Parts: sequence; C-alpha cells; structure tokens
Amino acid sequence: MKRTRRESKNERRRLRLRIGLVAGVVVFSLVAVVARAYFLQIVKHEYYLARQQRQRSSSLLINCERGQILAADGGALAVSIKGNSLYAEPRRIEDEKRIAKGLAPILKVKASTLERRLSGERGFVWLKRSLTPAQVEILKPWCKREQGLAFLKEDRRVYPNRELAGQVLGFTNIDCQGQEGLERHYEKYLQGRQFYLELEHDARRQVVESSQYPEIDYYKGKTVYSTIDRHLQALTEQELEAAVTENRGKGGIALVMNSDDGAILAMAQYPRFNPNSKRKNNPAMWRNRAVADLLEPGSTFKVFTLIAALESGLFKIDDFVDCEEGSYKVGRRTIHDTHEHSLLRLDEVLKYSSNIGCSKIVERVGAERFDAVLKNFGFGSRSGIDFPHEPSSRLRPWREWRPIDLSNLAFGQGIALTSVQLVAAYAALANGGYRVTPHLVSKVVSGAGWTVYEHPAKKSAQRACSAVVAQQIDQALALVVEDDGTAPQARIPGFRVAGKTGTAQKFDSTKKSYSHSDYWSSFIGYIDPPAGQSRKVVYVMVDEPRSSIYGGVVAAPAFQRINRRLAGYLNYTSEAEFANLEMPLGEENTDHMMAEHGGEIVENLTQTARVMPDFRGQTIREALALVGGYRRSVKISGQGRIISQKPLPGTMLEPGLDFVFRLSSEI
Amino acid sequence: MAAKKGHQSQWGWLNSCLLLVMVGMIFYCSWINNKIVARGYQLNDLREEEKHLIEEQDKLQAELATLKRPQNLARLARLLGLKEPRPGHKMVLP
Repeated sequence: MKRTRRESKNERRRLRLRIGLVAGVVVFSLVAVVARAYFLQIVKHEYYLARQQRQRSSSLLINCERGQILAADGGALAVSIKGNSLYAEPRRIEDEKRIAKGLAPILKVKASTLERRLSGERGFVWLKRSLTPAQVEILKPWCKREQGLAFLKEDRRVYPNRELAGQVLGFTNIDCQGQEGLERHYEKYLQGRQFYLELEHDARRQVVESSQYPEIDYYKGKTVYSTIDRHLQALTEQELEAAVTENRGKGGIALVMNSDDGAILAMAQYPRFNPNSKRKNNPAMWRNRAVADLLEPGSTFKVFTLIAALESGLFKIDDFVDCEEGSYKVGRRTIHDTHEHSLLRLDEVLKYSSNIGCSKIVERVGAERFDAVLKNFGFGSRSGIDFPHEPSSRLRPWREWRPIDLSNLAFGQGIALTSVQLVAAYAALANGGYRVTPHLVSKVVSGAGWTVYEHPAKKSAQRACSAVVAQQIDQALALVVEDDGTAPQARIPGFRVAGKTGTAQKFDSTKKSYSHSDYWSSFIGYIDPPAGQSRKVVYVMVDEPRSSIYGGVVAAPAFQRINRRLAGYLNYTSEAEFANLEMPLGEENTDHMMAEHGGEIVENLTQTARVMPDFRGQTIREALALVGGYRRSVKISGQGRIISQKPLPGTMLEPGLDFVFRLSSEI
Repeated sequence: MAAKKGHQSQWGWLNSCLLLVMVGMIFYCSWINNKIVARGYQLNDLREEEKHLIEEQDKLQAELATLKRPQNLARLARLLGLKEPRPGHKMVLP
C-alpha cells in the first residue's frame, strides 16, 4: 500500500498545522502567563505585597509592666502582676439574656447591666476587669462554652504590705496610671512604655514567628527606691494607732525623718488605708495628711521664737524673761500660761512652754527679724517634698502683723504648716542648723541598672541658723523631758532625749473662733544616736484626743515608745549599757581616737572559754562590749566599722589570744 | 555519526545531573523552610512559656512580699515566743 506523493504532502501539512496549533496554544498560554505574572508582580506589586503582609503578618501591642516601688530595706512596696479581665464580642453573642443571668453572680455585676453590655453589634466590650483567681477558675468553662467571651491579660498593681504606708504609696487606676501618692508623683518613671511586636502567621492564624524582642529593660517602668523602711514604718504605725485609740482620738500622724538629709524613714497615719481595696475606703482616707493638711503647730513652734531671740543677738540663753505670773496683756487681749511663772531663763521658757515668755521675746525681737528667721527655716513656702498636693505653709507678710498676731505667732498660733514642714525645720535644728529637703525617694533605677534620678545624699549648704544657736536650743529641748518639764513621759532611760510638746487649739470655722474642746496634741524631738550616726526626728500628733489634751500626756508616750523600738532596731547602745562596759580609758570617744591613730587597749578579761562572734559590720564599741569580759590585748586599726577581725568568727577563745580589729568607714 | 551520538549522550548526562541537583536543591530548600517554620513554632511556644513563667514568678514574689511584711513577721515571731530587742540588746549564739 503505497501512499501517493500528494497524500503524504497533505499529511505533512496537517502535521505542521497541528504542531503550529499546539505551539500557538503553548506560546499564547506562556504569553498569557507572563502577562499575568507581569501584571501581578510588576503592575500590582505594591497592592499584593501589602495584602500578603496583611494576611501573613500582624502587630501586637505590648504594654511593658509598671516599675516597682521598693522600701529602703529592699522589701517590695508596690509591684505589678498580670491579672485576667473578661471581655465580650457582642456581635458573636447568641443569647445575651441567659449569659448575663449566669455571669451576674460570678462577676458581682447586675444582670441588667451585663445584658445591656452584651446586646448590640459592637466588636468589643469589657464585662469585668481585674478578676480574682477564683473568678477566673469559675469563668474558664464559660469562655470555652460560649462564643464571644474571652479573657485578656492586663497588669494589676499590688501592694503586698497592705495598709503599710498606704497613703504614702497612693494607688493607680485600672489602667495602671498613678493617681495618688508616690505612684502619681513618680508616674513618668514608673510607667512602662509600649512597643509593637511583629508576628507572622500561618494559614490557621497560628503564630509562626515573631520579630526579635527589643531590649525589654528599656521599655519597662523604672524601679523607685523609697526612703521608707518597712520595719520602722510598721512600728511607727503600730505606736501611732495605740496612741490614738488609747486617747480616743479622731486620727493621728507620725513621722520619722533622718535629720542629715531629710530622708523620711516612716510616715504613718491613722486611720490607715489599704490601696489594694481603695474603693472600699472613703476618698478622704486616701489623703496623706502629713503632707497635705495644714495645721497650727502650737507650742512646738516656740523653738523658732527662741532661735529668733538668740540669732538676733538681743538675748543670751541664760537671760531672764518676766512671765508676769501667768497673765499678760497684749493690746486688748490677755495671754495666759498654764502655770504661773515670774522670772524664767530663756531655756526655761521652752521647758515650761510659757506663752507669755515667748510673746515678750518676740516683742523685743520685732516682726521683721522674726519673719526672717521663719523664712530661713522654710516657713511660708513649700518644703519641696517629692509628693503631690503639698501646700505652702501660711504665713502672712510681717508688715500686716498686729501686736497680737506677733504674740500669737510666738507660741504657734496664726500660722498653718504641714507636719512635714515642721519636721523638716526640726531636722535642721537637729543636724546643727542646715536646712534639709524632705524626701521619700532616694533614687530611681532603670531596668538596665542605670540610676536615672538620685536625691543628693549630702547635707545642704544652706543654713537655717548658726551651729551655736542650734546647740543651745538642743540643750534647752533636753530640759523639756525633765521631771518638772512638760513631757517627762518622753524620757527614755539611758538615752538623751530632746523635744517639745505641742497643744494647739483647732480653729472652728463655723464659730469663727478657736475651739475649747478640739485640740491637736503633739510631741516632736529626737534621741542622741551613737557617734557617727545622724539624729532621727520623730513627730507624733493625735487629732482631737478625748482622754487629755496635752501633748506631753497624749503624744509624748508614743514618741517614747517609737524611739525605744527605733533604738532597738537601729542597734543604738544606751548610755547605761555603754557605762557597763567599764572602759578603762574613761572617755566616751577613746575607741575612736585610738582607732584613728591605730592603738592598743588592754581590757579586763575573764578566762571563760567561748566562741568568737562575728563583729564585721559593727562598731568597735559594740565589739568591745562583748569582748570586754576578757583580759586580752585589743588592737585596732582604721576608723569606722569593723571589716575584719582576728580571731575569726566561730573560733574557740582561749587564754593568750589577742583581738585584732580592722576598721573602715566605707561600709 | 558515532561522534555525534557520543556528544548527545554527554549532554543528556549533564542535563540529568543538573536536573537532579535542581530537584535536590528544591527538596533541600523545602526542608530548610520547613525547619524554619517548625523552629518558629517552637520559639513562639517557648516565648509563651517564658512569659507565663515570668508572670508566675511575679505572682510568687508578690505573695512572698505579703508573707514577709513586717506585721506578719512580728505576729509569727510573737507566736514563737520571741520578743523585741531592747536598745543595745545582743545575744551571742553558740
């Protein structure tokens, strides 16, 4: 079967046509694909890239946690933890009535309120924020069962010490923004920053990968180091509460301040307030009265009258003032003393708290000079404490003072100041005449460990009064606690106590006169610490006491108890205990003198075997108190506190061993 | 003719090798990509776990601070028969 030439030609033509056709289709398809690819990749590049990124990636807003507030002893005062909040997506909710009814008793919110929130077409609504762990456990099955209900984690501020320093710390709102107290004042440091974290998802919206976490420490809130010592705060609060309840008072304030730098070690208030449950408390209780409330200082202010007298050069401390047997006329008004006195020395004016003595002193000093001294102590302005809502103390311009105003001012009436301002002024007196700025925060440290703020630790160079006057007043204040002074109850056996009572009538704004039943009873002073330590000014004020009105009866015992416990806590050695050491060299500071130059003290020693204690970190005086019973040679080098010792701690002490102590002031 | 055939088979051999390498590379890239995705999931899980542990730690620290608050310590100390020290009161423990 032979095909003809023509047939084979036709067949070749058909074949070529078919190949051409297929090639055409392929080429056309390729062109179409290339054209489509060009359209997608080049023309619509931006659009599809954005769409791809939208589908594949997302951004998550991360709120970094708020910084902590720590106490001076390192304990946490305010911390942030993650808590759960419940939200709903109303458009996904199917039966809002049933859900609202079921959730109401768990969330403790009215069913009608929940129903209102759950209805509608909104995409997001809070049902309850900051749930308790128990509520979360009950709600977990609900979130699994019901569509449109879920938890969201949020920061929650917690105050682990509950009422301790409640008014000082303040609190935050539900969004963790500082509202009161230190939380508010240090908001810019405490607040955590926000950043976005880039996430990549798979088709099921599961996170495949997230971008590198930034340096989290940079975004975290900073740590605020408070000057408050939790243990001192606790004992101050305890003693204040006892003083207020014993005297059936309305409330009270107590403060402990380091006199050298103005650091507030304790700031107590009664009634107390727990910032963890702020809604349960009356908003009036949130206020830190020691900083925000102006009150008349009463007799505690007489100290400044005496300072004005001594600073003016018109009086000497042993000059006499005629106290007119308890009654003295200034203009048309008559001033009285509690007890009748004739001639009193200047320091006795303070000891017996004579109103007449003070009035007569300022009459001679004059308004202008008196005003200048008050201004030197910072009266008439704010103390500069790092706390919100501090008012200026109220002191009228001296040119407006009438003679009776001047007399009243001399014994603490007609001036209004805060407790902090008064304590800061006494601190200046206690440190030898240097002004201090009261403060509650010593430093702020970032997450990376950088100190971003620090209160200057040095003593201020600004003088409130001369060192000589400060010393004379200090000696006069020590008379107040003598048997015939106004506050013998403030005395502490073994310690030198200096202080002043205050009994101030409250002004009755309805009657426009001073009340005869409502008083502020106070005591302010300090005890002498061991050499090398600064004095701690302690102030106690009881508002409207009913058992007695006198500061010496109401507040002085609390002052005494606080100082006794403070001395125990700060390891003060009382004079009696020190005397029991029977130091052969006699002088109190001999150990320091010896230490400065390197020296040797021979003690009377017994031969009783015992174990060598660890004296490191203690003063040489404390060490000598314990090794004092042994007849051994004690070698001391350097000054300050003990950094090394021989024999080593735990060594059995045998006859013939020597004690060697190396001291350094750097610990 | 034989030389031409040998030349063609050499090219075929080379093409096959290239194809094999390409397929191998595709498999390798897919495997690597798969590994990256798996590691991504793992990393994400670990981050979640870390976050959870940090939250737990914060809660425990807050609880510890509550337990160590001075009032609580004082109450427990009194229960154990301890007393507050007098000023300067020291005891040397054996």
